[in-house]
Amino acid sequence: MASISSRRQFLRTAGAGFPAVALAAMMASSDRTVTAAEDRIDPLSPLRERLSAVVPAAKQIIFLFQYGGPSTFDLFDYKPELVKHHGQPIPASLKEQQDKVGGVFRHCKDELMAGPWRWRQYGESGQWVSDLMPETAQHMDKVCQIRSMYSESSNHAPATYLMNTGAILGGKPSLGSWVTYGLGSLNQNLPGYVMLYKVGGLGGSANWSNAFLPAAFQGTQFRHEGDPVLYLQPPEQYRGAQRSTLDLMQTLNRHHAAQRSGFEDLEGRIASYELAYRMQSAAMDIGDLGTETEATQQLYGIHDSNGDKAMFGRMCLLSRRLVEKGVRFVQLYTAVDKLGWDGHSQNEDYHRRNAAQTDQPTAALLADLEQRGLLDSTLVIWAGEFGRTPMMQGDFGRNHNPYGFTVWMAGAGVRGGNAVGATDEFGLRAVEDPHPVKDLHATILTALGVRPDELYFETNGRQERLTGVAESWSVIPGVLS
Amino acid sequence: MHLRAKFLTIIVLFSFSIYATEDSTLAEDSTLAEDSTLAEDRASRTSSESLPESTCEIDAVTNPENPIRRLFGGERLDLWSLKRPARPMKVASGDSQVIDQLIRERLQSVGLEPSPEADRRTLIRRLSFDLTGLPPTFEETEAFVADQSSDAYSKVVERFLSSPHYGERQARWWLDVVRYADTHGYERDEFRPLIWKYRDYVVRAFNENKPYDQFVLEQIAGDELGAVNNTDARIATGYLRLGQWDSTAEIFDEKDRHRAEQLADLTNTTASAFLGLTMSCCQCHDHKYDPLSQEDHYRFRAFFASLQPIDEDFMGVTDSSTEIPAVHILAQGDFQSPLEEVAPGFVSVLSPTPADIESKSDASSGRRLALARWIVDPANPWTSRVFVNRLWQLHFGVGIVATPNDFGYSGSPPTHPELLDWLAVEFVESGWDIRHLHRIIVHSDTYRQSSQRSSLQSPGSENTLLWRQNSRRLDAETLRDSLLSVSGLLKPVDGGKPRWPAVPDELTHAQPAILEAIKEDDGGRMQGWYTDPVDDTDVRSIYLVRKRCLPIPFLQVFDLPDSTTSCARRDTTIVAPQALALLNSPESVRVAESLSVLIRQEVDQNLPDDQRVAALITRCFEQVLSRQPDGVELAAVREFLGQQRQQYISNQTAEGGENTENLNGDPDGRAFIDFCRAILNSNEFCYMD
Repeated sequence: MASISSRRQFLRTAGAGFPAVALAAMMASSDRTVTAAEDRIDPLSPLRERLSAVVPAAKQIIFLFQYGGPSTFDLFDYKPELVKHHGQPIPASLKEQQDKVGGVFRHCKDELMAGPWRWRQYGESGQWVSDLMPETAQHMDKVCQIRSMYSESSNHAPATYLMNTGAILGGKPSLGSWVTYGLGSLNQNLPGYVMLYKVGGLGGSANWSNAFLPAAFQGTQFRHEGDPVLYLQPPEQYRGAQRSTLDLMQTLNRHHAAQRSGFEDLEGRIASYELAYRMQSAAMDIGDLGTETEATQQLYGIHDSNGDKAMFGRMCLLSRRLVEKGVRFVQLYTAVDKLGWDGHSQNEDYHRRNAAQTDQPTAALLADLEQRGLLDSTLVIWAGEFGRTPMMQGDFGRNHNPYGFTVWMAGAGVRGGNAVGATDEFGLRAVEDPHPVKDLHATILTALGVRPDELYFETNGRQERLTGVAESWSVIPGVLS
Repeated sequence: MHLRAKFLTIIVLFSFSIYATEDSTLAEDSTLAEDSTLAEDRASRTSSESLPESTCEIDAVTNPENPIRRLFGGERLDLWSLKRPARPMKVASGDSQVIDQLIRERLQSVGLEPSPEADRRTLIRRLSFDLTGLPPTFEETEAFVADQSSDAYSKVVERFLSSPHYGERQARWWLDVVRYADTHGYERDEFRPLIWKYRDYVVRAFNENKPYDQFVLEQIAGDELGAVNNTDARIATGYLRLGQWDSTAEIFDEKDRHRAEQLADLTNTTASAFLGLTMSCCQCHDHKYDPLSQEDHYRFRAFFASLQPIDEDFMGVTDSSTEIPAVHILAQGDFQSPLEEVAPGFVSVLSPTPADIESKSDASSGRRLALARWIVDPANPWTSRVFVNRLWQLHFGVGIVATPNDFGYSGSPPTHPELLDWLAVEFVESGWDIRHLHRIIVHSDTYRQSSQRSSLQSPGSENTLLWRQNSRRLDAETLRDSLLSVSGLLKPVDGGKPRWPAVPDELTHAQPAILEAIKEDDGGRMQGWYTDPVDDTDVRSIYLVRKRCLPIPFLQVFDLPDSTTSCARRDTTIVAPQALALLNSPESVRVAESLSVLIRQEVDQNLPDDQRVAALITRCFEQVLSRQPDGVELAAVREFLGQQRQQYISNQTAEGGENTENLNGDPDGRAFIDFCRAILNSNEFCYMD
């Protein structure tokens, strides 16, 4: 244990922060100078677990990304005033302020629009939830809502980049990449950062990119059908004789390496093939949902007649299985088509459809994680890239709204049954404790025991961070216990 | 001793007409003579007044009123890269010997010896990858090993330098530096139908050995050079349009924000690519480490302010000398918080006054031309150093400055400052001759060293002083190109439209914008993925499409850089998904199958079994690794083939009627393909010594 405590000591006192000092070695092949043994993320085992600076509340993350921009005051953020003013012109109090991000008001009618939902209070905490989310509503005592998020773009791709990478410009590492870069993973036979999606967000793989971080930290897609990982197996006619092929290759490799002593990369590459071989069976096992009980399968709705719900149920169940096996960061995209929650017209239909698809599996995930004791160490995040306007757009639609929206967290380290911040009486702007996306990221990192400023990477002369300039963020008060 | 050695000594006159007329070896592959406008432009450029003649003339050093001097209280002026490079006094004669002299001095100072020369098989493989990005053939290798003539090595070098593949290889790293892609990025990620012409221009520029100063001028200001008929110079300005572009920004009234982002991106990329300056660090505040102010960022940005917003026509940019939008310093970099207006100006530490700009016509402000001329001014302390360092990195895996895009305080200092300076001066005096630089580097003993780690050398794997060569893994494109090459699939093409290889369906279906295109619902904006027939994609990877939101998975897994910001150096990581891709992906398996067919065709099937198997194995080693197998390898593969064959036969028996379609294939054939897969996955194939 001495080594662990001294390592912690080192991490704490290293000033620069442990992942940062790992950079130089990681960037280069082993030919580059390193200053101290602990400085390096071992290129031969980049996902080796790294300890956080403080004892963390959360060890693993499941991020349910609500692509398209859900209208959060139609789901969680109850606005009785909006119901009262339904059909009326936009009040001056909303219009007076500048459309600073831009493009929000221009596309809207001069008319407020409430949803037709019934609202009820749930749990001991009495949090309001609309009847779009009756199952998830049963878990509100586990949930902390943050009702005062704002974004910096009213456009899908930049706002999706912001939520996933901390920057509206594409080309920055994603949250999952930062987390696995900082902390490694808990199972070396699986990728540390797994993506599950049928349709990803606009902006594509830049949303789960490692960008300038080493490739070991890029999101790996875990497929909900077929072989769970791309290229996990050779074409059919070459199966059944794989181990011997691998053995031949390794024989040739060892013969080659013996004439090149001291070149670690060669050993690393030999090891990577063994890992790939182990990953084949580990990933196949996880992908086999047939080993789950009938009750569990029903809980997630994986055989539901609503095919979209069944698919999302499989993804939620897979994410629990991945977390159970030690994957550090799992992210799901909810969309089944290119639109997701993006209800520019007929907003009600969009929300009914998306809610019907996601409500039960989301609730099942929370219940199942709790039942297995995994919720104590797993942080579940529910967030889209922005919200929607209380003003009507087009044919009963809602426009994008970057000015105020709700996200929620549940599980490890979270004060459940709680809501922080508030939007105005109509749900347009965050007015009480408004928080930019980087504050959400700072809160997530803090839950993981990582100090946001210490998680950085030097590239092109800059210290790049998920949370931007040092000390420019704040942990959202009231969310973490 | 090698080509051009005529005026090595102290020529401090930077008049380009001198070398152009006096040194015929330089003129021979220069395109300069063909373009009188460029020649005049170059001849007219002498060391400008805006740059110091020597170190003591750094404005901030001599001028107490210099804003950088005032801003940082006279500090930060000892940054090594501010000083103009000069040839060290004591150097050997002969270009490559200078390199060796300067490397050995450092080694000797710490008691190290350089390594012996690598063997010829290693040398030709190293040269071939560095210069052409492809492996040498077995025949080429054998011919070089057998060549007893004194200029055997030089002949190989010259052959590679004059290969059309040379330009493809060099263009690849340049495209990394300028963050080239074929699509716009962001939400729709539309295809740019003509940007490949810029890619071809870069390939051509290297193959024609275009002088680097001309290469720079054309990319930044080709339209302002006044060479009306110079199509190349127009195409080259595609450089200015390589950044991401969000076509939906306008819909959401985010056009102004986006334009500010684009200008910042172009400023930062230009400063990184050509100057090794981190202008991105002084966008929101003064630079934290380097003698650069926030104002410097915006002064630099103002050179691009006259560029008109992008339209869909690729061929050239649109400039204007009228109605140039004012450029303001932005508080915290926020486009909605303008502070004072600034005029275009070079880096203030050297040149605090606004740039002297001559507008040639209404259609052109002349701003970018002024910037480009300043960049290629021989007195610019960064341009030549930054370029020679990139070339050094190509040949050694690591630059003399390990951070090629950052020559500031937070970057790595040069391990061999005198060598860097000597190369930089040599480069400029040679007329910015890129091939000349390659030649002097690859002819050095330092380059030709063995990469073997020796137990006698104490500093472990550390090799900053270059007591040996560095072994390197092939980068993503080189690996794929090598696979195609050794399997006989690679088709040479003369550039043109990018090719679209097949990618797994689920990756295209994961993209909302591509889904829209699949339904032909993208308004002709080309948001989709347009898979070409597989034969058409058997081309070098530089000709494959680079779609920002969907990198080709096979390449991506081998550390393909993100194409949103300048990439100075490829990462080399080792991860399990690389093993899966190289073993199991359909493209890898197809290569193995093709290789197997090729080898089997070349071996006489009527040989006795024993000899035939040995011939097959040997031929495969020759084809893939350019050498013959040794006894251990031959025996191991022979044993494998027998056992693998048995395994397939017994699988077939065990599974009975199942999958008979697949299992009916001949077990010998499949065993041999498995051997091909193994050798194509081997470390020896994927690394160079």
